[in-house]
Amino acid sequence: MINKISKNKIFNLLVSFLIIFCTLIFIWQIVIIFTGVPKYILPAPLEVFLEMKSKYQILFYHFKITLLEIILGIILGTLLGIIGALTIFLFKPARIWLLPLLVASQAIPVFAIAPLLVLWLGYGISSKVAMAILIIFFPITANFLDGLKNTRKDWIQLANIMSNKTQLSKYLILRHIHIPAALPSFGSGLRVAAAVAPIGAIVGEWVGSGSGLGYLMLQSNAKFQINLMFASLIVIIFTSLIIYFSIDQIIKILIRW
Amino acid sequence: MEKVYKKNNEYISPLGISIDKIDFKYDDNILFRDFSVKFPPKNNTSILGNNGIGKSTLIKLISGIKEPNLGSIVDYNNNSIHNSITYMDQFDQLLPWLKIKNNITLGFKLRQENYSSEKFSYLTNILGLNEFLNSFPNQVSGGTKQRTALARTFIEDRPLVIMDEPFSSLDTNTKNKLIKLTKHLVKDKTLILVTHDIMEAIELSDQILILKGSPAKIFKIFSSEEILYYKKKDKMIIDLYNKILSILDL
Repeated sequence: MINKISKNKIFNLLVSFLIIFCTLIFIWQIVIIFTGVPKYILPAPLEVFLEMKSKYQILFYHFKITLLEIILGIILGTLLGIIGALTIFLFKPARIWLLPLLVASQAIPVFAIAPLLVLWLGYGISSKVAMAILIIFFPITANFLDGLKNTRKDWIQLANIMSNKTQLSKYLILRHIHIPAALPSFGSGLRVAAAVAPIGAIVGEWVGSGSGLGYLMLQSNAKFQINLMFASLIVIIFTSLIIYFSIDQIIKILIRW
Repeated sequence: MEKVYKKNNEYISPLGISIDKIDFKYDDNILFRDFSVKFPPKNNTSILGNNGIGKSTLIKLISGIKEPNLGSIVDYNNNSIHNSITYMDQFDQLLPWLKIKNNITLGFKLRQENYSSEKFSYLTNILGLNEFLNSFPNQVSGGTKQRTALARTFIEDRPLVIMDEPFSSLDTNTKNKLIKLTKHLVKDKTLILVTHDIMEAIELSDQILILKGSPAKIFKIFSSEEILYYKKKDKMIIDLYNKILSILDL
C-alpha cells in the first residue's frame, strides 16, 4: 500500500518535472527567436543538447567528480551535524562554547573561505568536500538540535516515569524518545543540506580545481565554448535536482510521522 | 502484608501511598499547604474537584514529575515509590514512530527488560488490539489509541496505577467499555484516578476524595463502606451522584 502510494507520488513528481522542463525549454527557444540574441551569449537549446550528446564522455567524467564531492559533503556534513547537535544537547557547557562558533561560521561568506580551503587542502577533492561540509553543517545541527530540544514534554515525562531512573535511563530516553522525535526536524535540515551542498562543491571548483563541472564551466567559458558551458550548467542543475528529490523521497519514506 | 503481586516470578507487596504534610507552590500560587492523605494498598481512589484545584498537580507530585517544596510522598514502609508507578493520562501519548505492539511494550524497552508474552497476549486479546498490533498510531481510531495506552499501562509489573482523566476524550460507549476493562485489570493494584466524571469515579473507586479550597484541602472522603452502601441499589447510586455533585457545586 505504502509502496504503491510512493510510486504514484514519484510518477506524479516526474510528470510535473517533465512539464516544467519542457515549458522552460520552450520559453528559452522563444526568447532566442524573438530577441535574436547571438549564439555566443545564449545558444539555442538544441545546440546545447547536441553538444551534450557529442561531449558526453567529458561531461560524465566531470559529473562523477562533482557528484562524489556533493555526496561525500552531505554524508560527512550530516554526520558532523548530528554529532554537533547531540553534543550541544547533552552537554550544557557545549551550548555556551559551540553555539556562538556555529553562528559565526555562518556569518562568514562561503566565497571568502573557499580560497583558504584550497590553500590548506589543495586542488583535489578534499577542499570541495570541506566547502560542502561547511555549508551543510549548520542547517543539520540547527534543525536536529531544535527537534531534540522540542520533544513533547508529556512523552519525556511518561518515559521518565516508566524508566528505572538510572544513569542508563538518560541514554535510553535519548535513544528511544528524543532522537526519533527529532527526526522530522532533522529531515528538514537534510532537505536544506541537499539543496545547498552543490553550491559548496561548485564554488570550491571555481576557486581552484583540476576537474568537476564547476571547473569545466570555467574552462569552457575561457575557451569561448559557450555550448559546453551551458551543457555543464544543465548537468549541474539536473544533478542538484536528482540529489534533492532523492533525499526528499528517502526522508518521506523513512520518516512518516 | 498480603503478597499477591507477581514480578519476574517474585511476589511483591501491593503498594500503599502516604502523602505527609506536603507544600507545593506554582509561581506565586500556593496549591498545597500541609497536605496529607493516605492511599491504602489495593485500593482504588478517585480524586474529584473543580478545575484548577490541583488534582493533576497532586498526581504529578505522586508520580515524581514534580517535586513538593516540603513534605514527603513515600510508601507505607517509607520507601520511594518512583519505580513503582505506571501512568496514563487523557491524551494517549503514543509515540507515532512505533507500531501499536511496540508502544505497548515501551516501558520494557526503556528499562532494557523482557516482558511477559503471556501477559501481552492476554492484554491485547482482552482489549481487542490483535488486528492493530502492526499498525501505527495515526492509522487507528481514538478509542483504539486509548485501549493501547491502557495495555501499555497494565502490562507493567508495577503496583501503583495513576490515571489522569484517562477516558475524557472518548465517546460514552467506548468510555463505558474501557471503564469495565480497567476495573477488571486494576485488581490487585493500587489505583489513583483523577476525573471530572462522577459516575466514572463511583464505578471505579473504593474511596473518593473531594478537593476544595485554595490551597487545596480534602473537603470530603467517601469511604469504601459508604460507597458500597450506595452501590447496593442502582437508585441509590443516583443519590451518591447527587450528593457528590452538590458538594462540588458548593
